[in-house]
Amino acid sequence: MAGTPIPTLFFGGLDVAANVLQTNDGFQDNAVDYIPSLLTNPIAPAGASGEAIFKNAYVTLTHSMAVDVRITPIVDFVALDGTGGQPDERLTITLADLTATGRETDRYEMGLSVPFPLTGTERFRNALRGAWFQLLIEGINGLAAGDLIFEQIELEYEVVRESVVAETP
Amino acid sequence: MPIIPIPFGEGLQRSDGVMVVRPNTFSDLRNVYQYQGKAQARAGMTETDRLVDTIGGDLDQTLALNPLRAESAAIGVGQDVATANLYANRLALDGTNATNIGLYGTLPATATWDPPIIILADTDGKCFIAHDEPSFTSRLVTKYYDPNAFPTLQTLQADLDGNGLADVYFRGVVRHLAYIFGWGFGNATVGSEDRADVVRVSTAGNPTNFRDDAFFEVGQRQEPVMLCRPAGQFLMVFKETETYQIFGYSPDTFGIRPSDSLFGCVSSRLAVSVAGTVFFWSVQGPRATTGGESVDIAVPLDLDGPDPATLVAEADVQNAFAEYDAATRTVQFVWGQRVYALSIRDPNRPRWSYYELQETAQCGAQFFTTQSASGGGGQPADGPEFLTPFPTVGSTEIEVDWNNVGATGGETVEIWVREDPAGAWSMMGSVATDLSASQQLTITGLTPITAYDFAIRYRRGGLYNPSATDPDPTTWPAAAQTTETTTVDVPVPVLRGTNNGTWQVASGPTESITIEWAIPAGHELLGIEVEREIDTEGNSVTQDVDGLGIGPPDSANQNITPWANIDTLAAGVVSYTFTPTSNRWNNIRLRFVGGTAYSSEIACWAGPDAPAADSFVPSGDGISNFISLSWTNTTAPTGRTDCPGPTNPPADHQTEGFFNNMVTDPTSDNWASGGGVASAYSVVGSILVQPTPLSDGETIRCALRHKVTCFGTVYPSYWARITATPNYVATTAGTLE
Repeated sequence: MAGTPIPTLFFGGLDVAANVLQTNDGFQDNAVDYIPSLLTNPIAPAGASGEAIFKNAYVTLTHSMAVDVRITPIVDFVALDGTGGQPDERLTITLADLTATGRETDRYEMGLSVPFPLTGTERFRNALRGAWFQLLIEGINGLAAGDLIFEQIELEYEVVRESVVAETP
Repeated sequence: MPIIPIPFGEGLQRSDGVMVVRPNTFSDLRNVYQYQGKAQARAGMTETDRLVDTIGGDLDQTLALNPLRAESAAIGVGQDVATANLYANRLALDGTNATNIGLYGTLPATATWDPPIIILADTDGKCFIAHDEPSFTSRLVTKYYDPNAFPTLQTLQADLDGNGLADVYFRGVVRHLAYIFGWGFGNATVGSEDRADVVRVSTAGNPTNFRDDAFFEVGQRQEPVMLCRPAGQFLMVFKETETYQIFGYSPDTFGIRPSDSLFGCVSSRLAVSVAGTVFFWSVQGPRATTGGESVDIAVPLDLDGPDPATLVAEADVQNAFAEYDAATRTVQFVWGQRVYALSIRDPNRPRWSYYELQETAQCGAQFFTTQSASGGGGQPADGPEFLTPFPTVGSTEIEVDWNNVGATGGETVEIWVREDPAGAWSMMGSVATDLSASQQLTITGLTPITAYDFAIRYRRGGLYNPSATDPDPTTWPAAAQTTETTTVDVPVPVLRGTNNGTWQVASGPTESITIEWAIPAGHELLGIEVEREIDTEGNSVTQDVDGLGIGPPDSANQNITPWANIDTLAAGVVSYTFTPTSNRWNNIRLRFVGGTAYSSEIACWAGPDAPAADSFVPSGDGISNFISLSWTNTTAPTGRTDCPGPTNPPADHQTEGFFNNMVTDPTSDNWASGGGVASAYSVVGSILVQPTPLSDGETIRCALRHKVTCFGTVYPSYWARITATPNYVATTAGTLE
């Protein structure tokens, strides 16, 4: 493919004069940052009415750009992001600039637990328990030169109580 | 503990509910595209240039982009919002070097959509421009860019009704096989123009030629064709809720048949052809067709589900468009800032995601790098030089001559022009190089008595000769620049026989004369100077020294006052009324402000017309030595209006007759009445005069004039004179002087 010219997609803009915008170029939209984000669908390892312990999440990233990626667990549709009285259990992964050396692929482990506070002090942590689990993975603070590839997302869990199957009488 | 993967799979799904959604679908995938079981952050967008109206003026909106493959270039159309002017630009394939190639049109205030929807298509080295406007009366004419024509933007014309060439108003155009297809226009006959259901096809290999019988009536009449897209050997014609297929490859084999009775495309740009498949947006979301019935590709896109929180709003449907990005192998349905991106790297497993653009996109196009096209010869060498001074300089056009120094073939010469010294540059000529000799091109549409700067350079594809790559022509080599000033024409007076003005008398009495003239094309913005002289004369031998009075005008002026300016008029004025010097020839001449040459003179008599030349007949009376001066006032004098009143003409007109014996001295002005008498005006009349001596063969001169009384004042005409050698027995007419 080396040397084979590939057609280039251009867009025409309305907002900043009659500009001509070359796509697939750079890491900003005409000098304005944007961020990628991924929100998994809810899964229930123990069934819809069951209960599971969510122990770890694993996110495998390939990157060459220097970027911060933040992972937010969502259990039973409640984001543990520090809002609404919820603990902030987000994980921020800071990726280094590897554009000079090439891509690197790493699997990041995210321990899933919530603190047990007593008089304002964390005494111990509980594993996350619930029926439904989601992950929100998003870049923060914009992107940089290079690549960022989300290779795989995995969830480690243990079923506490299976879902009860309804039977037709 | 078990570990389960949450794979990147098929796209987006929420509406089916948590009990149904599969783990390989996501609730939200934003600014990533999927491929091979993973998701990658999309790359950004970089501004490469801005479309311009002139060198110095950025346009406000980019409305359409399209490759011009034969030239290794691209075309863009943008709008200047303040003036609603739409300009076409030429671009290099890397999106740079935006240069104005002409005004496409001015968007009518009544247009349905603003920004307007512009559709482009290239073929045969030309790029067609159509305005997708539902209202025919607000639709701009279809034009095409021909880089080797002048001007480069040409109006598409065709004889589609048998009444001769007329402008064509397509709503859209597309290329397919060796043809251009256009839709939405019937023909130029009133009432037949707006045919939303008609698709017309050009002749093969001649995309600017449309025959009146080469068209398709698609489906129900007046239900508009939204757009056409090729699907391999077929051309798919999309209406809003149905699709047709044009098959065949020539006028003999072309035909049309329904292909999908349920689904069409919802707007004029929401479909794109990729490798024989047309991806389009129907009333139920995205679908695809390879020529037959379409298939649903909306699942899993989850259009029925609620939009993800914070997802940017989408644009109105008419502003949405579809394009294919070869780099990421994604079909992109672009709705302003929201993009539905469909990865088709694995055609059997299309995957969806969202893009959120940080700038609203109104149009898009793939620019192709075509190394073997005419632009593939690389950057042209330096060289074109003007041959100055230019040989033909007119008031509104100048012939530009140059030598193609350094040309090797395949270059296109660009001629740039601006008003000197601070006007805006625009490209007013574009012509292929001719290596055999120097070349010429006539630049038209210039303003008289205006200095213009000219500049010249080579272009090949999107590249320019090295010394002229700067968009500012003042930086190009000196031999490629020159200045020339247009000349000026003169106003063209409206002449009316010998008495050219419209003489009138109002109460007072006050005389006035109104003169008229025409303005040569291109001079409408120049003011006009009016000059006058007062001329007693007059025939050179019949001066007012004998008391007879003033004769008809001639070149031997006997001025009372010399030429002097009496007024300076605004641009565009074509008539002028002034108070004349009574009973005199008031000669008028005109010139444009800033000019030096004068128009021909307008000789205006301040009074009524003289007797008509063809009715003034002196002859012998056949009995005695009397001359009969007869006349017939059957022809209404032109260029004059007599005074009003109850004793209006002709009742109070009189006619006087005099004679002059020219036997001994043909130049004598020894006029005498010799029996001539004043006579009451009549339509047909005569008087007898008796010159002395008088014999057959002797020459006499006779004179007649009218008089009219207005508001108690008698106004005479000038004297009409005639030289005659009457036979006093037979009747012989004389010759009017």
